[in-house]
Amino acid sequence: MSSTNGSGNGNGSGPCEELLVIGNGMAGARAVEEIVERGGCDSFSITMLGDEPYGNYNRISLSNVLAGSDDPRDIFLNPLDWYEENGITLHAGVRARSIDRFAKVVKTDDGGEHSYDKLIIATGSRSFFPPIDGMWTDDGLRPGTFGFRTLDDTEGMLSWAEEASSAVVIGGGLLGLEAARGLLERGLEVEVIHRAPRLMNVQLDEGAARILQSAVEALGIRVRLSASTTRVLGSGRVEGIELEGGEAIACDMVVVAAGIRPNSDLAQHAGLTVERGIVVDDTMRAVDNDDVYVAGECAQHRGEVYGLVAPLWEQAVVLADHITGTDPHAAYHGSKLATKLKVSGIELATMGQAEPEHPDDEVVHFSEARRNVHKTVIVREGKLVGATLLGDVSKVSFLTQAFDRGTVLPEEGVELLFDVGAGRSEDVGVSELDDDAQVCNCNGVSKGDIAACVRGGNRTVSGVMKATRAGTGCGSCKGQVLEVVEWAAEGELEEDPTADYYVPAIPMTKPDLMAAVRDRGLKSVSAVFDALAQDGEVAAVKPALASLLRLVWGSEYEDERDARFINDRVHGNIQKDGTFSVVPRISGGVTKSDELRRIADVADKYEVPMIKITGGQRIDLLGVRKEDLPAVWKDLDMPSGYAYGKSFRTVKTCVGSDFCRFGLGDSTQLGIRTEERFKGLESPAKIKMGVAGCPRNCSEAMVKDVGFVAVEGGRWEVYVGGAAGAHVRKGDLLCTVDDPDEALRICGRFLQYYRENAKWLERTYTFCERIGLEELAAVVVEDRDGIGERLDAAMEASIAAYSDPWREAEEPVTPHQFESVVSRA
Amino acid sequence: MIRVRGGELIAVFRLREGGVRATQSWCPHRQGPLADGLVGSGALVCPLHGRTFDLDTGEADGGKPGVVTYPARVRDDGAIVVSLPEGDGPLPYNTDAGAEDGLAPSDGRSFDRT
Repeated sequence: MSSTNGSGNGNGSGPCEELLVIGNGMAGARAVEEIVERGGCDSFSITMLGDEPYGNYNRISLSNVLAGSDDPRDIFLNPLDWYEENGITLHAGVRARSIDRFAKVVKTDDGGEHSYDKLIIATGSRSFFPPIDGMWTDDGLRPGTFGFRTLDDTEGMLSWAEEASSAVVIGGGLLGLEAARGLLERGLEVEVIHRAPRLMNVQLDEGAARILQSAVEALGIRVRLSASTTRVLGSGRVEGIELEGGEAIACDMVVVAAGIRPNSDLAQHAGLTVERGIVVDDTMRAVDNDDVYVAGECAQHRGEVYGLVAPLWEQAVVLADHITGTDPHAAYHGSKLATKLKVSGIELATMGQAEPEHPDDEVVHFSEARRNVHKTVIVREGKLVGATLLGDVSKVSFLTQAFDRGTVLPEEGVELLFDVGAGRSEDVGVSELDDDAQVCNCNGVSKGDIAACVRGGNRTVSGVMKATRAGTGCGSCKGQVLEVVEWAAEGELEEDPTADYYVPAIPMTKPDLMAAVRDRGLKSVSAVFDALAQDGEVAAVKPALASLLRLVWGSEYEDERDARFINDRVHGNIQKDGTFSVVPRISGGVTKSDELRRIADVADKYEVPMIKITGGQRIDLLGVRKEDLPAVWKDLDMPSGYAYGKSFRTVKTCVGSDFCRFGLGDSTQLGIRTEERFKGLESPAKIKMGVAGCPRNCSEAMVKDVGFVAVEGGRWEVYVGGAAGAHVRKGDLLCTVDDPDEALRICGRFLQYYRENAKWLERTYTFCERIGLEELAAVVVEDRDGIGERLDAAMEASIAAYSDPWREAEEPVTPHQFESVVSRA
Repeated sequence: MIRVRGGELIAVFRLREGGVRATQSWCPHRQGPLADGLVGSGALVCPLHGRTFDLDTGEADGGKPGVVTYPARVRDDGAIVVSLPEGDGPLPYNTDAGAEDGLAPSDGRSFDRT
């Protein structure tokens, strides 16, 4: 009935758009808050319609109000002053009756008409009242019967409870249990009636629910399961309820907490698409109408309608970013549901699935009924898809992080549930490690060294790494170094702004650096240093910059030989004694007899000490002297296998349908095509591929940076982010394609995306974890951002710029390029 | 680049910004060929395991054993002149093992194959 008038016309000069918000609950008010924060008051004249006659309050606190631990006046998030201060016109206690999308007018039940330029629908949910006889009278709910959704409901319950002595709560979910607890505090006898065979059946499995039940009953609340209410008894006031089967339970108060339903009628009558909720896209706009935004419990996004509060915050941010133009590319991708709460005094944390849903889901389970502890973790393909912690939530931060990021979990299931003491040495928690345990083998740095460095004042990971050299050798201990630094800093780790820089010497992220290079026409490493480095050249980062420049400029890159690491100056891998390894290209691991003969002849002629077959399915000539390299290449007459650089390396293959009786696809052919296409491609770190002719996977395609696996019907699965070196990781299934051409196309697109966005020396196994499979699939496979064509073109340009470096045998690039530095004259 | 004097080797570097430097030829760590390393902004990086040296002082990062350096300059006629210690004993040489001179890198190495 009341309305607060703000200044109405915004604060800035110029015409304002009319923003109308239907719904003054947590979603609507939060969305408006976010809009105001983004300067929305200057561009919008904001009007809000609220069905309830209050400012916005925290609906979750109603349980506490009922229990008496919160005062109703304390739960307001946006008291009436807030609207006035921000120039928002609030019509509280006014319900919208209809929306005319075409005239852009909303009519309200007080006879008002509100026109809008942009509309936000945040009508939330209503209590669901199951069809039970006797619940309703001509004037509304039977006196003594209540829903439990609004402040009015709660205040009604409180005043009725003063005269009542026993209550029945219909519904044993979270809300019902909270209502029961509250009424118990008010001195009533309470019984909870629940249709399902266990309490909180949506969030909890059997074991957890039973423990919860005993805790609830220990408080004094009676619980009846698998019980359906068929009638509310009483001719005036409530006198009891009747269950299916005829049993009657006497009571003088009934609370209905049987679920909620989204308030989508308004939208449906306006002709918007409504399924379970009002259907929106990733910008939180109704799919039928660009001027209509929707947020909160009434919105359906990618098939999900959320009944928890966390998604609301995320949706409000995206909505505000988009509607104010702050970030026109803002997108909501859905929320991963993780909740932490107290139910009947017991701590409960849940995330994702409550029970295994997929035949391959693995469950790790711990139950200790005596202590009211129950923990369950559900793992699918090494990733956490659900967890329930009841009574002991100590692992909740670890699990929430694993759930949110989709990280790979420890091998031992028990470590998911507990902090395990000294188990196998690799899995020992950092705190249990001895001080002199060696963390970094390359540089001989112990845990104690790292800890001392941190305690000496070094609070950033990169600072510690620089000072101790830990993690700066082969890099495979970096994860553990990070853990030790975090442990030693005891949570006071500093955010390291240089962590996102492509190279430490230049304060820019990779995309920014690439843009700067392009815009300023910097084509050589020295040019980049001159233009962008604060302290001049830094030797160690030259190869990283050279790689980036080659990526950006292709054949226009101005090569400076002193910017190359030795392996790239002479196109061979330097060995411990200063000699080199020579690996000619054998695409897909398939060779010919005349190639083998030439290799054998070269080995004899140059007295090569060792001929070795490599893991990449080719042949390595080891111990070749630098000054012999050009002659060796000429005699081999085979192109370089690029076994040494930060580049595309090999494609391992299995025999496949050419000969193998199990072959579903021609893996050798596809392998050869792939290697021929991407050979020598510059990249932030080496790329190894595999192609398998069937899921037996003899060529280990699932632990490669990119792998193709043939499946039924001539199709191929594409895996990314696998590894089997210092780090072992099974690749993620990116997509399944219909033919080899498509596989090559997707592979090219993925590789280009990786090249443009990965940090220097970041292998795909780290990159894919960092970006996340969903995001990768969206960008690379579904082309969500529309960059597919550009990626394809950039990849084609890089491929076109390929040249065999061993041709430098004809014409060395520098006069002493192959002069020996080890032999005596 | 490496020059030879009486059969011994030293590493000589021409800097992008001008000037030349000279050091012992092998890395003190595992005898990597320093002449094949990366140079920039007064620093030298060994190609085998990345130990980094200041080209003026020969000192290595992190307090590890550094390299012996020799004064070097470019003469007016373009020739490079490196000043070596007097006498004809072996050139001084740092290794991680601690010995300061005379540890010829050919011990246990395989390139006496010429």
